[in-house]
Amino acid sequence: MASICLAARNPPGNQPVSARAWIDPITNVIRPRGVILRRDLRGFLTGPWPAYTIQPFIHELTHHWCFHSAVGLAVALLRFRALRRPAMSNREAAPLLFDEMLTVDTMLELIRPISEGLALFAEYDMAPGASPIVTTPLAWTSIAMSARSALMDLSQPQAAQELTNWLLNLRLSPDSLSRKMDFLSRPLTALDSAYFDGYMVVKRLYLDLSQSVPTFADTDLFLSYLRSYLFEDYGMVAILADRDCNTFRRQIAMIERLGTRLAELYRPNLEEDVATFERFNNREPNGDRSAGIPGLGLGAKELEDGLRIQQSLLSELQDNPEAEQTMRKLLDVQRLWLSRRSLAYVASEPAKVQVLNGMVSAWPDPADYEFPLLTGVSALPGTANTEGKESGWVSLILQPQTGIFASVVGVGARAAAIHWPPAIAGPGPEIVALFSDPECSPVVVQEQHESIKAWVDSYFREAPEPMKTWIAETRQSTQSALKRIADVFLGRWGENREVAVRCLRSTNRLWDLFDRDRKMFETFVALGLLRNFDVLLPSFTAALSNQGWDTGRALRFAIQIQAKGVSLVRNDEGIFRWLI
Amino acid sequence: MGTSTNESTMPTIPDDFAVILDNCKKLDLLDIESDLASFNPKIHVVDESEHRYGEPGTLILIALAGNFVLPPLLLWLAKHRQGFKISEQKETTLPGGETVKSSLKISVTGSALPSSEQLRELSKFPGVDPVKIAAAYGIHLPGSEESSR
Repeated sequence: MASICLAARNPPGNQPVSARAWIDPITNVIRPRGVILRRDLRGFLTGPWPAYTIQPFIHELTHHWCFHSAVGLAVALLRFRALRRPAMSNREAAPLLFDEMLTVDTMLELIRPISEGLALFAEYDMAPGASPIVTTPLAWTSIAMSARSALMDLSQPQAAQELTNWLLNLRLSPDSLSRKMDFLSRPLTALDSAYFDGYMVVKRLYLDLSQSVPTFADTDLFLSYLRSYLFEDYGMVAILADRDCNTFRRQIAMIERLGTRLAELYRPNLEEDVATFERFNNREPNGDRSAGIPGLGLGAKELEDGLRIQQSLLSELQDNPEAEQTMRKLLDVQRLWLSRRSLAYVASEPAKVQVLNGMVSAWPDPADYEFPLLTGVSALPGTANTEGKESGWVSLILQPQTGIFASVVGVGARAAAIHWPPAIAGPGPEIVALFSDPECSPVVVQEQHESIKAWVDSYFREAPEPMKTWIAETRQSTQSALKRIADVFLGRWGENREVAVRCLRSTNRLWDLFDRDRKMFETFVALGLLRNFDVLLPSFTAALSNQGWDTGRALRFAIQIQAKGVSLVRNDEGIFRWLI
Repeated sequence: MGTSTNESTMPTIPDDFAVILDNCKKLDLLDIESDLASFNPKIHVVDESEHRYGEPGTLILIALAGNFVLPPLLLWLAKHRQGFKISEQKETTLPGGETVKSSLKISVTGSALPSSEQLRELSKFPGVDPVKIAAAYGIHLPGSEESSR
């Protein structure tokens, strides 16, 4: 297997605008949908962000947040190790490489529905609540939805209420409702299936667990807990990187672990654990969590083993003076990849850049907008003057955990200037060093992401027999296991589990329950977003009917759907709440 | 998976062509697939994301018997107040690799309804009655009384 080329340099910054959002869990590069910097940069820097960018951003940021975790780190470190294998070239390398490749592949597949479910829950259900904990996605939502000059303090009830209202309006917009109806309808790809299964599982967990844990009335606390429960699971870390385990036993252990962990969320002492978790996390975002997070249902031994294995994985990246130069250089690069995973690359596009006497300006390239993107930004030390306007790039980069973001202007692969928004005064030298490191330039990141992706794709595509068969069988059994796990939760949407699963697995999924009544489907989705209100109050029904949402008819329709075997409305002590 | 096309202006409509419907909402596609089931239309995903964690691809609907499916499809769009633009293409490679020599691409334009001129041009397609389509949109085509007699 040829090693990947990390030194190639394409023309810088020429990545197309992302028509569809995506994230790479290994490098943690995110691309929210349709961000066009030349149009949107001013909004990003001064706030509020353009409304159409916010939900896709919350979605991808939630993925980034999930993978910036113990499990995400283990998966990334295993992939880093696999990428070092071609440089090792010893006899044991091939089977070890196969194990690492298939383990990461299985884990990414296994965690996909729940990841999509969490991201969709953040998009449609997350809101400020009573808990002092504020998740990274919610904190960024408040940044995105307010002017830089008036950043929200979510500990103030008025600010929290304001954000809740903004989010509600955003989610009730026609495009947002339509998107939700789409992913609740027939899945047409594996990704589509992960959206439907994931959301229905996470929403079911929320509906069930919030009955026994009153503090989960705060959807943001629920999101925080479920993310930590699954992604800070040191038991899973131990399985992923246990050197004494063979590939196929490991796959079974991973599947069993996920199924068991989800089932154990229904344990009797969950409320107590959530309280412990909440107390522990009521601290600075960068507070020390190196000894694990309490309240996640992990035994002391499990935690200890997982932490030891994580440490061992991390120690593999240490410099080894006895290693060959190629390996030392690769280790050097990978250590930086690790730091770089904390950054989220939101968007990047070509620009004409001029550096003159220590000042940097950037214009759209091609010049289809009249005004410059940025002017008069101080150049980074050592940046040479350009010969007029040279081809370069502008990027929007943020570090979610610290709330820091900036637009970075560069020429070639190097950053020429960093423009911090007004509210971010004097970021520390470590942050400046990270944002301006050539290896963190979006051009290099994009190239490396593409090289790694191509290498991984070709590994699986070109695997010889019998590995090819093993890969196919492993993927198939992972899919079967995922379906079994999801069916457990789909079954909880009705009184008779089998009937509920049959209804929710029908060809068009939820759409099949609505007898092709589009407005009724939309009404259910809208009323689900309004679940905190008594929507049957006359004052509400009048306002809702202006949107074509007939609550009385919706309640009768819910009874019909219930008769089919799926409960989409719950009577909470006399208040009817729509559940999807 | 994807469709590759070689667009051109085609002076005459061949006997055998496929219809490709794009820029259409997912629930509309599911309805069309069901309502026009006898014409065997199929929903396909094009430009499917190469990323494991990403948004699913673009949806299109393809019906191979274009001659037969075009009139009811245009009528369906009209009844549902969906505008459209038609372009003619040569050599379209369908998702899955099959190639059709010619096809009509119908791009849904949402609530932007077609103009009278656009509707009149539909007469060049076999079996399509512009007056009937216009009526379904609630549009009166000037001079249509004569042409429809």
